[in-house]
Amino acid sequence: MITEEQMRSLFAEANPVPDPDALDLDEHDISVSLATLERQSSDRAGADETIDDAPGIGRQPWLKWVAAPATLVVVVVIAVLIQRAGDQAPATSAEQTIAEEFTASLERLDAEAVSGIVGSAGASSYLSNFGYDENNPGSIAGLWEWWAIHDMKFTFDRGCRKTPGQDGRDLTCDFRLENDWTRALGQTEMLGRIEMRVVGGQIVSLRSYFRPFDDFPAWDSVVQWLKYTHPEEFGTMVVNGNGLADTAKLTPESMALWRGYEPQIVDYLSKGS
Amino acid sequence: MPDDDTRFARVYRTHYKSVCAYFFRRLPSDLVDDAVAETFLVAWRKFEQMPEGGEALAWLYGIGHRVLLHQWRGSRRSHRLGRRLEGLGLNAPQLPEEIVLVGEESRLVRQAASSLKETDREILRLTLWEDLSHAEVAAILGLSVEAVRQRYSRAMAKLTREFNRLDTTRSRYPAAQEGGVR
Repeated sequence: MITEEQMRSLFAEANPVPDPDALDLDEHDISVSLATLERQSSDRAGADETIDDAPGIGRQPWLKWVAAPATLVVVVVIAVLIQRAGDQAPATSAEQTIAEEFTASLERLDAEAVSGIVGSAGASSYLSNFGYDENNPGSIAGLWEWWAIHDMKFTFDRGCRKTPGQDGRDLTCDFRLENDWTRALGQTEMLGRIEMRVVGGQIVSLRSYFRPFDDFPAWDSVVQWLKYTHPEEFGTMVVNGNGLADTAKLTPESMALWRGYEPQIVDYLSKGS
Repeated sequence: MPDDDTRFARVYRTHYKSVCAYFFRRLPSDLVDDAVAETFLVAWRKFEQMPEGGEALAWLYGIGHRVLLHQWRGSRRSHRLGRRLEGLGLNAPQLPEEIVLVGEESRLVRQAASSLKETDREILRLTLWEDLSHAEVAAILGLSVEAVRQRYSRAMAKLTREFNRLDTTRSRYPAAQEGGVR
């Protein structure tokens, strides 16, 4: 019979990679990986994805121009000032109006209101963000109905802004978020943002980010609780369930179960999960 | 900004091997490169949130955890990965020669750990393999520090009980455990 102290040692010894420094990784390869990453990041900054969370924060390639020859300094500074002013000022474009229409509907979890402004590509990109695709179908209406069960409250009180470096069609909207689960955990409001691209009067790309780790509050804890306390209904409520791709099912049967278990989940979380 | 670029490069070089090790402990080796790249890409995008000093590594592990749990979610890749990891307790070795190299005690540890909930196993891994504090583990898993403390304690007790049970069974039926009389 071994003691817990001995068990701790045995578990530590079962570590397949006890010493990361002993990994056979070439320093040259690490440099190449870093260069590749920097190139990927630059590519994404100029393409579909926004890197920065807020204007004036993070890496903005134009800031490097500050180091250019003195003759360029004045021009660059003026350009920077103009761009910053554009980024931070409340936009008045049609795209801005559509973005804020979307965020207002999200605050109310009113999916009907967005039916005319979120195109099918926008809806697909949004849903895939939460694990729904052709293999695991979902809908904005279903997702928002599921969120309503947990009393999900989004607050967009900073409006939406144009994303730096883009042509004005890309917008970022910051939100604060709380729901029954975060309140049960005693957490302060979460922060996050939505990025979208508006083309031809429709949202064609839409993605949410939650901080700090891009995940739904307390989701992993709730999945574990459900798996072990209600295994017979787990498969009706959650897709996959192997710990890597858990996603809430949005079927009527699933919704009814989620609704029924909500008080138990809140009770579980409020006891420190 | 040049300063940020330099700082990121420094963090990258300092912690690259540790992040690789994190994934080697949890994934089949052919999936590690992608996961590491994805982790640092997210880190780059969220760089302004990166804490200073020694806390940066725990922050990177947090992103790594989400890469496993979230960014692979819903993709075809995650389904393939899920199938491959199904039933594995602690990233058990898959090649015959690796299995031979694993000691009997280590095998029993893995078997005993498979009786734990995945979150509890991860708490043990982060604590004893990544050498993180309960507060750091709590931040990564989105749990309270007290919850991590309690779950760690309960998981270690259960792991010990299960290990002892398996060890007793093995001692009682050694031939069967070693593959039978044939």
